[in-house]
Amino acid sequence: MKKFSSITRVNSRHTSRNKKVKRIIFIAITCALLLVAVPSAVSFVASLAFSPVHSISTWVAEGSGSLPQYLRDRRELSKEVEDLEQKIAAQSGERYTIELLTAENKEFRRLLGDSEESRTVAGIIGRPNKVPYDVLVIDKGSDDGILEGSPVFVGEKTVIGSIKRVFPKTAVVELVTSPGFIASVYIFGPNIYTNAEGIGGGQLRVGVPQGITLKEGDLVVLPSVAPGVYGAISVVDSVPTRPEQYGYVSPEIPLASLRLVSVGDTPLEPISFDAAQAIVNEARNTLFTVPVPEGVLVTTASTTATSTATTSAATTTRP
Amino acid sequence: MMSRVLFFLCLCISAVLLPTWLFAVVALWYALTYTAYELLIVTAAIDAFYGGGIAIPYYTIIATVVLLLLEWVKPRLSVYN
Repeated sequence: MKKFSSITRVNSRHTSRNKKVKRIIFIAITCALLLVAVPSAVSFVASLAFSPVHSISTWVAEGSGSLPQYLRDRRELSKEVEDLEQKIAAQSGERYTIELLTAENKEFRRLLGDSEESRTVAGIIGRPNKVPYDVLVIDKGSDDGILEGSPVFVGEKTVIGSIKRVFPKTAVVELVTSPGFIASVYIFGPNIYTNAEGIGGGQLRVGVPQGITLKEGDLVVLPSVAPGVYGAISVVDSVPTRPEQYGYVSPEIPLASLRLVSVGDTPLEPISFDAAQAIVNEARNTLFTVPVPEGVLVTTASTTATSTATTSAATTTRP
Repeated sequence: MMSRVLFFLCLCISAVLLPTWLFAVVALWYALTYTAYELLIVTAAIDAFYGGGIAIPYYTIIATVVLLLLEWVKPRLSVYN
């Protein structure tokens, strides 16, 4: 009887386990089919769950409202003496607000001021290492006019990626540095076109044959986007015994410290080599040309003009 | 049942807020505690939202493999007997 009971229990466990395994496989296949068949619908439903959590966490961590500031200040000042704590909280709160608003104002001006193309400023609410994929999540979506495929900029000229998916209140940005992302780039210095590969963590890798001089600080431009500066080569990995050498490119501002980006209003489209060449030339002109005032600038034309004027003056004063 | 719901909510929030490795720890703990079918839903949502356009849903595949492995391992662990 005891043996029978034991056998029955074991059989029951086997049956139960088989049922669980079947259920797991069934749910996994259903999820995979949904992801393949209706990816937009699934990601829309997911955005309803994930976006509010991102927004709230960013608001608490970086918001300039009184409640998040209070929460942050409270954490920072909890070790202080009680009466000083209130004064310091008030003073630092005011100063912090002014600094934050000043910085934000500067950043807005920088982002929007001189650019000819209309752009939308967006706050970053999810960034690599905090989200499961190497992407950015921003707090602007289709309700704000964000379009899929639009370029995403940091500052005026640095492009960091494009809009991959748009939801009503949020959007996901695919970074040019996402692993496996391949982009055509132009490197100032050796002045060559090559392919760059994203390796994650805000880094691009360019591979060129030995013999081409890659230097740290060489600017890298993405000619598919105007004005498509990405950053400068920060490290060169060159081993003489290897046929190729690699340059690692990082943007001027690390991704981890970004708070705001601007999104172009026109989605990226494939461009011809001539158009890419024009963008590279434009980048060359704007990057390496400084608006020098007339009286200070000395060029061959001005030198010639000055010397001509001097000569003519000398000629006229001579009797 | 209530604890399972709370744990699941924590799992969902950790998927969004915590670093990936920490989310993996929480998810593994959840899968060891319960038969975590809903983990597949969460990972599918992650793949859809963050990895939209990527051909392979990595997180869903990893979760499926982990759940199947755990179903195989659990009867061999003394805690479950």
